[in-house]
Amino acid sequence: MRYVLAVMKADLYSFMCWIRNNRMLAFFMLFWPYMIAFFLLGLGSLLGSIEEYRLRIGVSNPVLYILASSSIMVSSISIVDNVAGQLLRHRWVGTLPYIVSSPPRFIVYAIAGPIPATMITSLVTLLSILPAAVYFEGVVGGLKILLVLLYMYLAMVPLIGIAVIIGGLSLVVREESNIAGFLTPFILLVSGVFYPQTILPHVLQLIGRCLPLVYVVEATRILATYSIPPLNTLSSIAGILIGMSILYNGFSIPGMLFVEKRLRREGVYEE
Amino acid sequence: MKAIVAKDLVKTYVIRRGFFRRRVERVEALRGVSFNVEAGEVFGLLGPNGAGKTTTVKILSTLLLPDSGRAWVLGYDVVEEPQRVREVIGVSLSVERGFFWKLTGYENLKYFGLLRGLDGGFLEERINYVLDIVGLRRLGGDRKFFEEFSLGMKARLSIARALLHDPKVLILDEPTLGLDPYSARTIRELLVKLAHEEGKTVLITSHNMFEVEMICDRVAIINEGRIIALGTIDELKRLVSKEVPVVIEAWRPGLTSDVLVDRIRVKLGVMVSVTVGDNGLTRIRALVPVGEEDRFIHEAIEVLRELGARIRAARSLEPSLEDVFIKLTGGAEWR
Repeated sequence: MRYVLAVMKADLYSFMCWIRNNRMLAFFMLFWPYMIAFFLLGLGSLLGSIEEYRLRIGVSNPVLYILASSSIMVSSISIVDNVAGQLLRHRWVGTLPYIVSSPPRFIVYAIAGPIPATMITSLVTLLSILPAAVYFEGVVGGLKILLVLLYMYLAMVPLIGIAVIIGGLSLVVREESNIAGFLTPFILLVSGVFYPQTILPHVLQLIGRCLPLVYVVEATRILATYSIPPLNTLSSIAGILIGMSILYNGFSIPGMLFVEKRLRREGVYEE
Repeated sequence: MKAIVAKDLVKTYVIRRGFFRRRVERVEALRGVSFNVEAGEVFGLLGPNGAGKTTTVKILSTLLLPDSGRAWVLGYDVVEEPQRVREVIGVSLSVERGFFWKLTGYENLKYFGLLRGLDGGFLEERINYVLDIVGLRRLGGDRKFFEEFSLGMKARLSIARALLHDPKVLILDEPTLGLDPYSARTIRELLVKLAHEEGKTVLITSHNMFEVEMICDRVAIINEGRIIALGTIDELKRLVSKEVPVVIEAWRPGLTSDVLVDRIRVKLGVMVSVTVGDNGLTRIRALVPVGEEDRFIHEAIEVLRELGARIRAARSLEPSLEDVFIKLTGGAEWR
């Protein structure tokens, strides 16, 4: 436990330094969801009106929904990228051997390390749309965004489990490309971030149901549709996300231990 | 007390090549490496490129598992108790890389300190101490981004990180590789100080013979995955030659070689060859047992002074570690 906190503190510190020393990063973290939303609205206006989109999705405020979905997308990309990409980035920079030769277990580092950065990124991204939510729907809109953030945090735990497995695999297969970078669009595709998942083929829907993001999108849609959201549905979604957390992290821990052993046997830390 | 023990370490790398990675190549990196490092000594692992130095260091740093054999650092098994080993060692594997480019020297050290569970005032104190001891603060390394560092500053920061948690054992892979002479000398002096004044055990790898000869108390020469010689610098030199040539140059007009040869043989019991130049410069060369050079020179000078000669130069042509290394690794013999 001592080293879990140590790893989180260290990575929080480096993340804060990173932002302080790269000021444009903070700017883009705040404005990324807006940029994506504007891009989608611009593109969407070529295909049909906002009203048509509202009818198809079934939400009361499509602009706010797209903003919230964009935030979810940005947060998910950052989670998968932070967790799965961090090990590869450490190898590129050359810090991996020093992390491995530090007292915390590699598995502790792989899982706990990216948590502060991903939590901050999700927080900043979702809070950045808070003014828009308050503008469109008042205080209730703001509270709904905070609820979406809560769901995003719940989804972060199983997402970390999945990303750890992907990151570990990319080290083991000596793959220098960030596999997570290629998988993220697929995860977003099957999760139906900007459209109902029901329009996807059955197989993709099934794959999507195995990913936590679908449930965050579902919760967001419910929050955006009802003025008083059905609590039983929302709590069921929370339950599913907690179950996924146990399942995926249950797989990721032995998986990462295997990766650690394999890496120590093959000595791929410095390549 | 033994700080590091390596016993019969064997490691073969399996390298897969080709698009489907079906072509398998095996590289035998270590073929039974054994050595001990005493606490508080500077121990050098000397070998040509590809000899197995870095593989040994990686095993001792718990970064790599040996195929067979065992190793202990301060009594902790590197395979069975890696966490314990990591707590007591400080490692520097590459002076060029291993830090975040967009973080300052101070920020980098703080990150690695936090990662080791150090915190608060103690961590600040340690960072300031190691920045001072490696001379980085003087160079502004605490405030500069790592990307702005010179190679010498990077090497200093790498050693600062290794020292941050005050480890008892330092494992440094080619710590002065590529450094300018001044930076290299600073690092060398620091390592000797750490070992001899602070009691830390320092294991360095190098193929810089001069450096190893300057700072190491004992040296193991590794070649093709095997330790081929181990001992103090003097012990290693004795492996090459049991005798050392000594040359003395003296000047006294009219002195014949026969007189000199006789006097030295009678007085010192050593056969010498004498060359007398046209200008009266006499060059005396003798082969003396290793370790007897200083005594011989001193006594020969006494004899020459008795004969009224003025001494111009006296030196022993000691075989260098480079000679030993080249001979043992199959290169040219010392001449």
